[in-house]
Amino acid sequence: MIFFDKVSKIYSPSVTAIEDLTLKINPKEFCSVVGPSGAGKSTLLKLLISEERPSTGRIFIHDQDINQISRRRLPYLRRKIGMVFQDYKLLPTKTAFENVAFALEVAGVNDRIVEDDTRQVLEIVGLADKGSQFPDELSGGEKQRIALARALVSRPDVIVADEPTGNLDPLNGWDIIRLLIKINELGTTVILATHNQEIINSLGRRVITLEKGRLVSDEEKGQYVL
Amino acid sequence: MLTFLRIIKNGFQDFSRNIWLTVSAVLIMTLTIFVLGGLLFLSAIGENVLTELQDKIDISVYFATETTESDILKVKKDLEGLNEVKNIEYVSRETALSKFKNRHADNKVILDSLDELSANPLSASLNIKAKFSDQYSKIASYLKSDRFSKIIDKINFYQNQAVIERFNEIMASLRKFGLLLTAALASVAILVAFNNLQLIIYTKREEIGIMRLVGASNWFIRGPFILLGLFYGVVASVIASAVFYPILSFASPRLSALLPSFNILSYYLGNFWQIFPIFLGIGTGLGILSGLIAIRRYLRV
Ligand SMILES: Nc1ncnc2c1ncn2[C@@H]1O[C@H](COP(=O)(O)OP(=O)(O)OP(=O)(O)O)[C@@H](O)[C@H]1O
Ligand SMILES: [Mg+2]
Repeated sequence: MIFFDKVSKIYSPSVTAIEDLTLKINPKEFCSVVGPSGAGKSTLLKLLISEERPSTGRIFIHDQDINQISRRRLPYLRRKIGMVFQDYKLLPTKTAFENVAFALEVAGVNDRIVEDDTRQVLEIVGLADKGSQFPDELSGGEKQRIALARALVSRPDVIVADEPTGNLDPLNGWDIIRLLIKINELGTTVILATHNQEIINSLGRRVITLEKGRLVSDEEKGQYVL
Repeated sequence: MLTFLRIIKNGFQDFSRNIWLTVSAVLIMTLTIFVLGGLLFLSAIGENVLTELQDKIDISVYFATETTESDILKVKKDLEGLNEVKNIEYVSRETALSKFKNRHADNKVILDSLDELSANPLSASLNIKAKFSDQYSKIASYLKSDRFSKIIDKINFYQNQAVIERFNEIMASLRKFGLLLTAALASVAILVAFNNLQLIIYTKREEIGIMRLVGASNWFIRGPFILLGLFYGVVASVIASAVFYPILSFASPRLSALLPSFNILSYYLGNFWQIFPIFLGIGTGLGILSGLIAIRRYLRV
């Protein structure tokens, strides 16, 4: 379970990205976060992996206050959450394959399993033949799918995807969404931030709408309304 | 163990995929070691020049002509018991005379007038060298004591006292200045290298942040940097010590013309196993330390 308890994030006196947000996300839920650009969607997701720390309020994951986690223990939290970053955050000096494998290597998984799982997940995102290319040599959509593969490969409890379809054509975008739905059906919590109205409307899942950092609606079978 | 192997693998992957960063890091370290090595050699040369100058100074004690040789040797023995004395040369009256004649072999007037004297007019003397030039006044005052006043005719320290003291002052300030200058130049060299290495690691800050965000522990991230720092340090110190060989071979004969008692090349080769570890220590220390400090800053994600 993920619980935001009166969380605010104030970057600077003039920029309040999240304001007094209280939110509960149950295990195995598929939950979309929508809202106009600058509404605070990415900030919300960043708070979840402690990339940013809340200015006030507390965030719990499995009943643990993530602000109480020491820097030394933080990697263990992050290994349990697979994050697809809006700006991909791929390591430029590693190949696509190595980027995905890295998420397993840091956790101390043995070489054979690293090899097999990485290959498998690259196939799932349809990039089995691009494994040896560096991020610079990949298209935007391909980078996005590598970032997704990296988030999936360690089979985390929670997948957090920030605009994972932003750079994809509708067909490929739907592939990604179908994949996320399948992973969710297998028991993984999925949190998806997106602008894509068509996707949200046809998903028929929970939708949280943010505007200027405030939660303006939270509906069980939501639609994209602005 | 698995993690350790991965750290090594990551380190060397980084090393081979960032060949320009590698080259510049090694170059910076090599240059720094080279400058520090140069300072080391310069101070060795300086020390030698000073010792050589110091060696030119001695004091002589002249004995009354009637003093017996055994009395003089007794004084010599007494002096040798002093801590400050490095060595003493005894010049008997006969030796003094023959030296004098030798020196003036082509001056007929002096030789003739010498022959006219019935007895040897020269005194026996002891030439005393102190370990350090500021110890002469102590030796001189020892000789000044009543015990010796009957047999000692003259101590030439008192003629040269002002000069010797001035010399001592200059020596002391030269040493102090040299030490200060060396320390200042060494710190500059180290700071420049350190800053450059910080810049190189600065280009890696984003990668470090990404690694943190996808769950890498601090040691998993630091490991490859430390390993590379170590590796660059070793390579740089090997290169620097190799480069010194031809340079010193070239400089050595030219330097020997000015400073015959000192051979810089054999100084280098003779002390190689003391000098190389210094280079190695500077290189690896610089590499590892700057890595650790810089990364610390970027691990705060
Ligand atoms: N590191 C930062 N420092 C200062 N302000 C920031 C920072 N990151 C985000 N902001 C500000 O916080 C607000 C919310 O940003 P956020 O990235 O969460 O928006 P978003 O909803 O993800 O937008 P988009 O749909 O364009 O990705 C914006 O006004 C942004 O300018
Ligand atoms: Mg965003």
